[in-house]
Amino acid sequence: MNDRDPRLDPWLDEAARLEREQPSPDPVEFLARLRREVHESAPPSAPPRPSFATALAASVLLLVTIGFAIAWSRTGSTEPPFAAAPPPEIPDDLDPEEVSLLADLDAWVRLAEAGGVPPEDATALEVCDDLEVLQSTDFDAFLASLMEENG
Amino acid sequence: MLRFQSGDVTAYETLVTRHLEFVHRHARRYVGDFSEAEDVAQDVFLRLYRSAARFQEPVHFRGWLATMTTRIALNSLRTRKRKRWRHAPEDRASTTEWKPGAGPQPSDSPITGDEAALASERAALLHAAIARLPERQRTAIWLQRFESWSLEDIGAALDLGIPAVKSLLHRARAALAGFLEPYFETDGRVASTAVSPHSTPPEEGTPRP
Repeated sequence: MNDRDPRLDPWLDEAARLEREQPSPDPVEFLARLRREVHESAPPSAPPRPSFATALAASVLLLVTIGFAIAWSRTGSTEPPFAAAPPPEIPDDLDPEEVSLLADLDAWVRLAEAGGVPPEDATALEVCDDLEVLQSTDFDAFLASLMEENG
Repeated sequence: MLRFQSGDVTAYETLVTRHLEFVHRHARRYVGDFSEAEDVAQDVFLRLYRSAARFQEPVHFRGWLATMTTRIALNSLRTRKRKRWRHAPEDRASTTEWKPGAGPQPSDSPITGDEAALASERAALLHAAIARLPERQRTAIWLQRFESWSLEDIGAALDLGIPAVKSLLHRARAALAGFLEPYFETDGRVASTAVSPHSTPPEEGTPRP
């Protein structure tokens, strides 16, 4: 089989010429039809336009958020407006190990409450605030005894 | 293309006008029918409109057009075949006489006279032979010989390097020469002993007749 067969080229040329003599669509009519289609179909990648009510709700939410932020900054407080509970106060003169222990303070209080110790119970709060007790190896036994006392 | 990407609608319409003839011609090679080819062209240009921003390399725009036209035309053919099988089983027999993709029928040619009729018959035989080629070989031969595209442009359309395009064209020409061998002897006149180029297409990679 010869791909350089000289008899093939005249056939190809002739077929190409005949094909070019075939009619083509009228560009003006085709463009008019295309314009109609383009206007009727929105681009698929375009995000849907939000309704007026959605836009209004988003604006109100944004304004409320900004209002809170301004009010918070004016108080000069470092406390976030939506915080559930204040973080434990950490003295400035603590070493890193003590800071680590204090970071767990809130967890210890919750543990004590779970064990039946009321939050207002002075003993439990004293335990949690007392760094020496927190650092002692007897703390677990002490906490267990507190829970036992409170049922 | 760059103007169109920046949102210039006039540039889009210029692109459509410039490439409409090619897209329609290429679609018609597959679907055969003029208005169906127009529908394919419309679909191609609508997709172009919607995906303008995705063109990273506008230099391959013509390749994208050729690929998209081929895909949409083949989809259109599949849809048409499904409809025929579902609604008109009697049409099945007629599809063996002339298939979309076999190029214009001899009667489509506006040229008259014996020589013109013979030229038209040769063209129909050639298109029927091209229709038997595997898809990529078919597209490569159409783009090179009917559209005068460079090897580089054909490579962009088929996502192939130039050596692969050369190899594709080599195989396509060899297959076409094989299919048309009986007709070369008679200069396109259908001999009674000639093998029809409409006979069962060979599979890709199998030896050609």
